[in-house]
Parts: sequence; C-alpha cells; structure tokens
Amino acid sequence: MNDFQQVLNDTVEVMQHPLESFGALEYSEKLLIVSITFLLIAFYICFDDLLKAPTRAKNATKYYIFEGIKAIPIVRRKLDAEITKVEKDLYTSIHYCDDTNTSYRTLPEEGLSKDKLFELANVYDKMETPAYLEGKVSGAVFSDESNEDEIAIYKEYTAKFAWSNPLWPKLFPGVRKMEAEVVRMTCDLLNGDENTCGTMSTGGSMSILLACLAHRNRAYSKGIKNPEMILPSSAHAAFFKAAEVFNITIIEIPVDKDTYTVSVSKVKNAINSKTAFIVASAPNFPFGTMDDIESISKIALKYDIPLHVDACLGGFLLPFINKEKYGIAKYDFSLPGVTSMSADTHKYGLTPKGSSVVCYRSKEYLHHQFFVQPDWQGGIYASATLEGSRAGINIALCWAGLLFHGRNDYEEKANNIMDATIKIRDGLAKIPEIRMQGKSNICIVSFTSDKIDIHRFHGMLGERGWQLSNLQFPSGVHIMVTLNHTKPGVVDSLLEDCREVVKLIRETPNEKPEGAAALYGMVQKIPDRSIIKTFAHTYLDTCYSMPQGKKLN
Amino acid sequence: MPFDKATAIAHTQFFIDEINDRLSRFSPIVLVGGTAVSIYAYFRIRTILRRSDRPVHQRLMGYFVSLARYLPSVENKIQKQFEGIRGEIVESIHKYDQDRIFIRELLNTQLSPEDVIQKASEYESMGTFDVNGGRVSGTVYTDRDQKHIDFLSEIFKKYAYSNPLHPDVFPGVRKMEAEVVRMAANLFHGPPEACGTVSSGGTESIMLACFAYRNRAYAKGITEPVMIIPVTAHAAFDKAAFMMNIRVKHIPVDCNNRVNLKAMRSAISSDTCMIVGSAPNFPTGTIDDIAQISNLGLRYKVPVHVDACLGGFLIPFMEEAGFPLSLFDFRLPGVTSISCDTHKYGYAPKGTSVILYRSPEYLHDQYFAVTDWTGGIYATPTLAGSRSGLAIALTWGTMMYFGRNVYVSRTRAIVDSARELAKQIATIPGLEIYGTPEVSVVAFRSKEFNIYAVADKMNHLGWNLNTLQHPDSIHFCMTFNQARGEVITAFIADLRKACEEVNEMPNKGGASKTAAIYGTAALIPDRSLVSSMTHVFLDACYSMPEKLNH
Repeated sequence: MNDFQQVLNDTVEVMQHPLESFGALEYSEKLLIVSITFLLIAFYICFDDLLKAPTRAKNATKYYIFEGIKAIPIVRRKLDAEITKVEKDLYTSIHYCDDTNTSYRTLPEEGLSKDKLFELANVYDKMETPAYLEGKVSGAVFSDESNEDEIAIYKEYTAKFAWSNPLWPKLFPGVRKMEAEVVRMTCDLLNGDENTCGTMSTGGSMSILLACLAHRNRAYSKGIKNPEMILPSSAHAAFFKAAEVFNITIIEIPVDKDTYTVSVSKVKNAINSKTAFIVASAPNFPFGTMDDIESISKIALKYDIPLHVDACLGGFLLPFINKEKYGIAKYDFSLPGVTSMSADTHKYGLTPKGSSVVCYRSKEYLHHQFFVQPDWQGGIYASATLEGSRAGINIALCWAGLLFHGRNDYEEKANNIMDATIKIRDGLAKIPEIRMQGKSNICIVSFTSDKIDIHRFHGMLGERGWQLSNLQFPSGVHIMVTLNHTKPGVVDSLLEDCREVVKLIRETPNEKPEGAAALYGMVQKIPDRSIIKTFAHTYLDTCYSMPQGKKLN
Repeated sequence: MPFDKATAIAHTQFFIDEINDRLSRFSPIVLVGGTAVSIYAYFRIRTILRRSDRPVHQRLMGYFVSLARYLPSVENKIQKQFEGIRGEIVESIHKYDQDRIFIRELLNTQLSPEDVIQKASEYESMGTFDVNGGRVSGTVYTDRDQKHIDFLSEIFKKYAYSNPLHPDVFPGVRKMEAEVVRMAANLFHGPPEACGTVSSGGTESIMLACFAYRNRAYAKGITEPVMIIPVTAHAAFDKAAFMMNIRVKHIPVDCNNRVNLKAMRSAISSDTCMIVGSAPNFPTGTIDDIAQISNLGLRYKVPVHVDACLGGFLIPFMEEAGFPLSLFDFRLPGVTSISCDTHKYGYAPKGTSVILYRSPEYLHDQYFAVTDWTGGIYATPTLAGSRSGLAIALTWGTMMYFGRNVYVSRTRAIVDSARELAKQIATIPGLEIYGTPEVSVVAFRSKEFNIYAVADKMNHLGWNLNTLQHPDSIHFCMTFNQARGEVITAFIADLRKACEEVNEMPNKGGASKTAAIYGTAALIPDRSLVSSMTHVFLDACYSMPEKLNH
C-alpha cells in the first residue's frame, strides 16, 4: 500500500516539474493557473458546441455580413432591380392563366348559392390547361382520369368519409381499419414479412420526413448526439428538408459519372460512429436510376446501420413488372439490410393526391416515429405521424383505389409505362446531340447534351406545350412517364418535337435562351446560393399573391 | 466617495493576494485538475438540466425506475401489469370491428364499382357513436347536411388529382389557397402584408410556426432556442420541440387556467425564440391574456404566436354574435403569427388549417428551398412536398358556401349553448366547472368522486367526452351538432345520472377503466414506460388480430 502511495507521489512530483517551470509560479500566482485552465476548457466547450450547432446557427455571422453587404445602397439597388425582374417573370408565369383579374379577399358576407359555386369551380378549373391529360406534362398527375367508374367511386367515398379522422380510432373505426389494410398491402407488395409495419402519410415528402425522424430518434436513443445521414446526391429534396427540420447532418455522396447511381465504395467510406442511417433510391427522381441497393444492403448489415430505400416513385410500379425482362435488381425488404421504405400510392398507385406509405422492417423502428406526450393537460397524447388530426378521406380514397384497380390492372398499366419509357429513351438516344444520363429504363428518361444548351432545349419544348423538368449540377432535362404518355401518338409526337427543337437550336446556336432557361443557366453560376434562396422565396410568395385587379366584395 | 485609482488597484491587489494565499495550500496539479473537472461538470450538469423542464426529483425518480427495470423480477412484474392493460387497449380499438376480416394483400382482380361502394358503407357503419346527434365532443364540427355533401362531391370531381406543388399545372387550386389565406388573414385583422399558408391540420400549422421561429433564432445566432408555452398549450408544441430540437419552458397557469404572466415574463431570456398564448386552449376553452403576452413580446422583441386552432373560426365572429372578447389578433402589435383550423369551426372536411404571419419576414423562415438539388431548384412553403389540392378546394368551397353571416349565426348558437351547458353543469352536485369556459369548450371536475368513471359511464350511454389530466377532469367540446336545446337537456340528464351512480360506487369510481389507465400513468415515475403503454395503443390501430385471410 505504501509502495503505491510512494509511486503516486512520485508521479505527481514529476508532473509538477513542467508546471513549476511556468514563470508565473515564482510568484506562486495560483490564480493565474486556475484562470488559464478555466478559460481553456470553457473555450474548448463553447467551440465544440459551436461546431455541433445547426448549420443555420453556425452561419449566423455569415448571414449578418451578407445582410450588411446587401444594405449598401449600390448593392441594394442592383439586387432589388434583379429581384424585381425575376419577380415580374415569376408573376406572369403564375398569373398568366387567370384572366378574371379578381380574387376573394374576405369571406363573402352571404354564402354563395350552389349554382354560383359550381360556376366558380368551373372558372377555376378552366385555368388549368388539361395538358397533362394529353401527356404533355412530366409527372404531376399519374392517373389518366379516364375511368368514369373510378371517379364515381371516389365521389361516393368523399361523401362518406370527408369528415373522418384517424386521430380518433374509436369514433372512426372504419378509416382506422382501412389505413391498417393499406399499410399491410403495401408491406406485402414490398416483400415485407409479418413483422413489417408502418403508417400512411399525406405524401412522399412526409413519408421521407417520418423515416428520417424515426432513424434520428433511434440514433439519439443510442447516444449519438449529432446524427448523420449518408445521402446520394441524387436522392429526393425531401431528405434535405428532413435534415434541416430535424437537425441531421448530411454526408452527400456523389453519383458515379457513368452509371448515375451512388458510388457504393464512397458510401462505405462515409460510415462512422455518428451515422444514423443510409439512403438509397428505387429509382431516384433526377435520373430514374436504381442505386445498387443489394451491395448497400450488405454494407448496412455489416456495420449494423439502418438503410432507408426511397421507393416513392417505384413503390407501386416495380412490384408489378417482370424484373428479368427489364433487368431490375432487388430493392425491397427481401434484402435483409433494408430497414425502411417509402412508397407513394398517389403516384403509380394512381389514387387521388394526398397519400403515401412509410414501412419499417419491425416495430422497433416504427416506435421511434411515434410521438407521445404523457403529461399534457389535455390527456395522454399520442400520434403516429407528424400530423395530429388527419384527413381520413385521403386514406379512404387510397384504399378504394387500391381495391378498385387490383393487381392485374396495375401490372398491365406498369408494363405500358415501362414500354413507353423505353420507347422514349430509344427515340431520344438516336438524336446524336442528346446524351442519356443513366439507363433511363424505369419511368424516367433523363438526358443532357454536350452540344446544345439543354435548358434552352427545355424552354423551346415548353413553347410547344411540353412541360419537362429541368435538372442542374449537371444540367439536364428529364421526363417522368405517366399513364398519360402511354396514350397513342403521345410518344411519337414528343420525339418528333424533340428532333425539331434540336434541329432548330443547331440552326441558331447563338441565340440567347429566355425565361426559365435563362434563369436556370444564370442561377447555376451565382456563387452566393443565398441569393437563389431569395428567388425561391419570391417564387413561393408569388404563388400566394393576388393580382391587383378589382376586389370582389 | 470619489474614484481613487490607487486605492482601487490596492484593493484589487489585496483581493488577488488573498485568493493566491488561500490557493497556495494546493499544488498546481490539483488546481489545474480541479478547475478542469469542476467546469466540465458544470457544463455537463447544465446540459442534463436543460434537456427537459420537468422537476429534477421527478426525473431522478424516473431514472431510478428505468434502472430498476434491468432487474428481471421488476421488469416481469411491470410486464404482467401491462398485459392486462394491453389487452384492454387492443380490445377497445377492435371492438367496433365485428367480422375482423382484413385485406392483407392487393386483390388480383378488379372489384366492381358497386362492390367498392358497398364496402364504403360497411366500413363507415363500423362507427357506433351518433355524431350528428351531438353525442361526440369536438371531432366533427358541422352537421354534414346532404346539401353541403352533394356540393362538395361535385367540387371533388374537378380537384381529386390536383396538387399545389405544381402551380403551373394547377393554377386554380393555387388561387384557391391564396384566397383561403387572405380571407383568414382578414378575419384576424391582418395588415395588408399579412401572409401565410394552408397546412394539413392544426398540428402542422403549429409545427410550421415553431419551425419558422426556430430558424429565425438560428439566423440570429441562438444555437439552442427556447420556446415559452403555457402548460395548457396544445401538445403539438411539445411535438414540434421534440422534432426540431427546441427547448420548452412550460409556464404554469393561474386558478382561472390563464397563463401566469409573471412566470412567463421571468422565463424570457436571450435564448427565447417564441412565446405562445392560446385563444382558446384545448383543455378548458380559456383564452390567455393575449394583450399582455403581446406586450411581453414587444418589450423583449420576441415573436408571439397565438394558437387559435380550435376556436379560430369562432372568436372572430363572437363580437358580432353578441359575445365581445378582449383583443386576440393582429390588432395587437406584438402578435406575429396565428394558427387557425378551417377543418374545425370552419366546417370544412378534415385536412386543412391555416398558419398566418404578420409579415413575409417570418413566413420566409418557414419556406424551405434547396437551391443546389440535382432535380432542380426545389422550394416548398410547408412541410409537405406534394399536397392534396382536393383538401384546399373543399375548404375554399365550404368557406364560400357558408359566408360570413352563417358563420356568425352558428357561432352564436354554439357559444350560447356552451354557456348554457356550463351553467347547468354547475348545478349538478359534486361537479365544478374547471377553467373559464369562454368559447365552446366546457371542462369540469369533481372533488368528491372519480371524474374518469363519469366519462366511462357517459361512454356507455353513448356520449364521447375528452379526458384531461393534471388535474383529473373531462371536457365537452360543443360543435354545431350540439348547439340545440334537446342535446343539452339529454346530456345534463345523463350526466346527472352518471354522477349519482359513480358517487354510489365503491372507491367512488376509482376502479373504472379510464380511471385505472390514468391512475397507473400518474403513478409511474418513469415516463418512458407511459410512452410504451401508448405505443400499444398506436400499434393496436394498425394491428390485425385474428388471422383470417381474405
């Protein structure tokens, strides 16, 4: 025992030597030692806190500097001029179709009559050019709305379930059961076993938010304070939203330049002790490519990290197609590493807007999605999704749609969509100026060009009524194929117009692009991305703005 | 005494010498180590304390219980206790489903339209409560008359597939949303620049406001924002806090169930990102002193959110209906945002609510934009991406269909009957009104018998009421379905009977089902245990007991 004390004393003495060589100690300035230690540690902790702070908070200084610069009169004027210009463009692009030039600003004093309302509903409806039913629009509406029976069914369901609300399962047991059944049917489609479970949500973004929330909370419960998600750069923007809302750090993995799928080795290298989950898409939105989910699943299993497969697009398409014929690899719960999936019923499930499903391999994950406040004055409060009250009607419509279509019908339609996709791809691939991005064999044809301005191409197709989507980083264009594109003649006329537009651009190579094309070309070059954010805000503001015409009542 | 530099230096020197003198007993290594450990401990304890605003002794208790659960004997005992409750919860969900046949796989063939519609009636008829007869507290706020429904299903046809995510494809729905927001902003006397968005429900509206204010605080460099809410505020605020890493300070209420303003003021700090007042709150239908809260917000430059989710389409009409209230809206300069549910007293079908801001400055912090996404510049106003345009169209249609005058007359009927109900409940022996029933909710409790047992009894009699806790109480939320004399008469008669029966019961009703659940929940110090009990409830909603394949 004494030996031990001796050793301890010796150690302390040895350690004191370097400290005593502190000049300060000559005056035995012990206060100095305490203060220095205090400052060092406090500084370390604060610095550490700052490093772990959410990005927005970290950027506060930058924000103030930026605001300061913007306040300089010259900069201010220039920026304002630019914003006003964009504002004007956006304003016309939003309001051009509204020739009534009136809007309701206050509740009408006396309720409108039924006839007047039907008339108004028609006026508002007329603003929509039914272009999407002619197959002119990429994505957006996936059903062809052609089946009278289907519409009649939905109408009946609207009347019966408009006020139902699964927040109160005892008052609306029917809707509750419907939700359970939609979830079960979806799990079954995605090859989940009896333990797979999940909830419905109002859309793909919500499903993705929910999955991210569950995995974040699970990471918290495992003691990870600053969880990270490993995200392919091609994944849906909703993951970026989830990251911002739930304070998850994104480790972005670029896609491979040849296959346009995420680089598996880079995913593997990004894994560390803070990784909360990995994301893969089946298929992704920009390129329509399937990530190598089989390999990622293996990695996820090996490192015991959850893997979310975003099948918002493919969830109600891939289960219905012949996998061998189209060369589709496994992507669902049949791979043991896949822990959660999101699938949109309101896309290729062809149901009205407002429903999607998020599934988990087991309840262990799902429970991290639930929110419970046991101490609320209004009673013990529990909710399964982000919402409290939910629209039962979305669930009922989705359920009716799934039952009405049935597997055989989905199979037929899915095959039609695949065929149309491949036809568009093959047609476009024959145009020498156009270069495909990825395989483009599942519902999305994504392409770019090394020879012509692709955003200008997009704009000129737009003038001919085709609404495709712009891609950026790298610049490109894609079309998402829906049932409306499978109608006879649509693909041919699209290809015809594409060929003509390319020819036109080749003939006038020096003409400057206009409108959205110019905007896209410009914004990719602006280094300060917060200005683009201002533009995005302006765009959203415009959506809620009202033409300064005459006021109704 | 004039400032004397020399004396000051001498004093300081003396002070430093004194400390050095006292510290000289310690060796430098102890000083360094001691300082390091104590400062680390300080930060660590601060982090733990900040994690929740529950009292420390309660949290310690909970921690010990959760530790004790590692002992198999304790855990087994708890699980055994659970088993009974679990069965009861599952049964309470599934008792309405007579046949218990579930669809587990997508059917291979198409069902005929008649079959699908037939199924709708089957599923709809599973619910047993008489909603239109006024037997259910809250939940459905309108009488769903056939004319309204017919009209909505006509609107439905045009908007089933619409989606405001694509304003270029669906300009009509975009315009409807803008108009719903504008009409709501004008109801609350918003200035011309007032703005907002339509969301999917009250909870989302509240989360959006919290999101905006959190982002605003981040932008100002606050790394750990704090929101200050009354304990009576809706659970959605706690939910938002949990999701978005905002710390919550719950402020107690006074005896009238209004938030304690003194406590609220002293809770404000440099980390505060928002203060909340309810108009009215969910538990007791009491309106906080919004004018004073607005003043606090102005004085400390903190945004004030007024949660009018429940009463948002009642309170703006109350003055005209003959029930003047003190100010609660944008007329108070401190109020920066208001949430109000169109799917409650706006009488629209489920799925819409409105979140309003005083100016775009706040709304912009709610917007989400990824500028560098491969799939293009992506910007959405709310949490959702794709949204149901149908919900917006139905809401818009409903607001236009009713018009201001109908809203006013319905408000008069509802508030009138709520006040009548409160008056009559006060006459029942053993019951007392809890809080201040100013709008449509009447909460009551009993000091003589178990109020949850009364709720269970009423449930048997076909009335569905809401149970509250801290203190034990229940409330009845009056909707247009209850705004009739005969409903109140029937309710009071049944309530009187139920109270008498409970008073006769052994243990004054303490063994009743709901009483048991709340009683157990209140006794468990480990709150995660209560959470897992509620997980049973949520799981049961998705479960399919008895495996019968279709």
